[in-house]
Amino acid sequence: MHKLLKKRFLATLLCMSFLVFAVLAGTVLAAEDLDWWKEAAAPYKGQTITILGEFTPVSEFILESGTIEEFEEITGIKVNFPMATFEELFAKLIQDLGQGTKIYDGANIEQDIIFSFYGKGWLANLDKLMEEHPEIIYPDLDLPDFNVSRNYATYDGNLYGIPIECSIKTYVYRKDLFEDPEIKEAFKAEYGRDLAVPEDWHQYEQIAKFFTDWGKKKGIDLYGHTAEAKAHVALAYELLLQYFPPWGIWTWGINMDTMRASVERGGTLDSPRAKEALQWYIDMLKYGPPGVRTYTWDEAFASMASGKVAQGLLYCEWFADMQTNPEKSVVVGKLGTNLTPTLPEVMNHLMRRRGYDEGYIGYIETNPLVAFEPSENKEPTFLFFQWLTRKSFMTEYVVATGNVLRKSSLSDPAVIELNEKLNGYLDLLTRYDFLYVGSPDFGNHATLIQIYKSWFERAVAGEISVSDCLDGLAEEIDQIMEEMGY
Amino acid sequence: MRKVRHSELKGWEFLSPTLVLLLFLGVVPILYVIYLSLFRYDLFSVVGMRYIGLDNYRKLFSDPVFLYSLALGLRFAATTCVIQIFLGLILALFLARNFTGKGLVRGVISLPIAVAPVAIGSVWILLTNVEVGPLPYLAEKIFGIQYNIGLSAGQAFLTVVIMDVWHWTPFVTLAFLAALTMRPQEPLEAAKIDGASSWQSFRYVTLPFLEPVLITVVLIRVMDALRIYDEVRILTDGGPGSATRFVSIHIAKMVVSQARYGYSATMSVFVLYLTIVICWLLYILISRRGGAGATKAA
Repeated sequence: MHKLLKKRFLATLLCMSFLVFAVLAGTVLAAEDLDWWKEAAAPYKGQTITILGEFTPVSEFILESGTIEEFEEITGIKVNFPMATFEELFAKLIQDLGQGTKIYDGANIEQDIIFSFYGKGWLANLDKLMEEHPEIIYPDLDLPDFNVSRNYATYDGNLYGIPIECSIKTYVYRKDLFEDPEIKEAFKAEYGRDLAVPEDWHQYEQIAKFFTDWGKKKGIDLYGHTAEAKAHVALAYELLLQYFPPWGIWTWGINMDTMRASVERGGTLDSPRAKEALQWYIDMLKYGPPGVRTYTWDEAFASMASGKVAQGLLYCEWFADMQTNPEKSVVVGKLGTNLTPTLPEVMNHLMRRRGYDEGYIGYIETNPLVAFEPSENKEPTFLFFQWLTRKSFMTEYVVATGNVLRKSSLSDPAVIELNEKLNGYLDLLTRYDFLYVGSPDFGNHATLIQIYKSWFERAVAGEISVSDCLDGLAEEIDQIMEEMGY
Repeated sequence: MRKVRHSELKGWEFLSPTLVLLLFLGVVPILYVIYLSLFRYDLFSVVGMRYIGLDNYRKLFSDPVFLYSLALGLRFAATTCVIQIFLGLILALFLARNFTGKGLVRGVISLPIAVAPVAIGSVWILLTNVEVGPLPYLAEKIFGIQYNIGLSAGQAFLTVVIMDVWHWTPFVTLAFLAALTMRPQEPLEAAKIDGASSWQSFRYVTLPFLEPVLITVVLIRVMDALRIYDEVRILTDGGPGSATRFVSIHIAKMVVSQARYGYSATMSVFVLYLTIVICWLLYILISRRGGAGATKAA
């Protein structure tokens, strides 16, 4: 007995010593870490940098987490982090960079438009910056640890941004409704098959119709579909990035070799398949809530978070909020995600031949933090970017936003726990990232997206037929590409 | 050669700072826009800025989207101005009378002018929201009408018209009210003694007196209506489809979102020219008619 006690005492002592050692080692490491930041930032102490952020859950988290203040305290570099909506951000940046007013040193910029900025020579080459200033490379920057998001910040083999957001737009559904015995029974009685997440558009449409009818039958505010169908740029992005690809219309229907959209010039934009996809999109709006034609991405998210929609294709940058935050959602814990439904032949094709050139089914949102070439504060700006994406901050970041930037963070117990709460969304994001890609590299992206928008919104409103819309659109895209020298 | 007097020179001296300011803030930007309109200048083009002479102007007249938004803008301006002037005049005549609570009514009626256009747009988004707004609910409950500005082009246009009328009629009312308050009573009394009816007094005495205000109000409102942007941008963003894509919205989208500076400059120059022509024509029309009325009254 005495021996046993002695053994237990020794074991406890050993464990405690180990813990003390670990804590001390951590403190020493943390202190060394702080020393590095202080030393690297010393030449820039007292400088002010201005980074323009977009109104996204990630930007909001960065502001609320206190990490900016911490950075300021350690480095003595002052950080302004104003925020703007997607359209405002774009307008502010092109004004600033076009006029050379140097208001902004960097920005959290949408992947969609980054190539336009790169094409104008506005982005600072971070590889070059690191080569010139090796003293500001954080020892644990570990670039290969970044996931697929890093690819979208790299052009011509050079790094132009540090990823700060990474999520996908995919199929989101009400898991609780799909598992409800009464609903399952009613669905089977009507369609002769089990209610399950749809794999193709036909199944999706059946489910949409079923839930909209179910809502009417039960006298509840429930619909089988949601969309971003307002006369707004969200409509164009939704169609091009989310609905056309699963129908096999990739890269906005533009042939990346000829840079033309019409079928006769190598594109697919006015093809029968594209017309079928657009017609289907418009027809499906009848299964959405009554206000679906006034929805942009915000309202589409709200329609799911308010519990009135059973399924839809949504930007998952908000998924963690919807699934875990009772202040923003009435469907906490009730949601699931899955791959976007496709035409069966499209998915078969993609699963056989993995790769960007072979097509994709949806959109991955991978905003990078970019420093601007005209800025005189590129070095402190780069330091700040590394601060925001350091490994020791990533767990807090992933848990708060549901975005994943670094592969290493996936093995963290807190992230594993979050993945369970999100019903496997993080697995989906990492396992199938090859099926979701960003916008194509169009230097005139900003011009193109508005042209697409102006045609799509008229077709959705019924002003013109789907066929006239895509024929006219393809013609105008060809013309503008030619005029702009692409 | 006329000799310039010392006092005249002194006057120009005093005016010069303002004139220089006006030149830089008013004339130079317009000249710059005219200059840009002669170029193909798309920010994200790989061919850069190219001089193309009047090509942009030629393109303008065969651009169906621009012509459509221009026609829509004119239709909007005509509709709103007629309604605002009619309602504003009636309200002004009503408020010119003496009644209890007149001050309060005047204050309440003037409120919309004080609200920022962006706030007006936001308020109307809430009012017309299909899922939570009171207007769609009341339209269905009372009239059995499905009111959905995201779906119906006609309803969207009508809503924007009503929103603008609600916002700017008080301005018209106040302008007419100011003139009515200044109106001398003698001609009215003389007309009454001569046996003129109320309508005749209004038509031949009051209305000619309001003519200068009418011209000013019409010109301001036409110019304002042609350049309406904020409220519509917030409420419908030009939709559904292109139902409310007025010319100002169209130009803003071309210049801000598409960064097509050359072609947008051409549109802006043309719309400015058209606005000036329309205002000049209206001025001639109203002043001639008003003059005839005034002569008749005399």
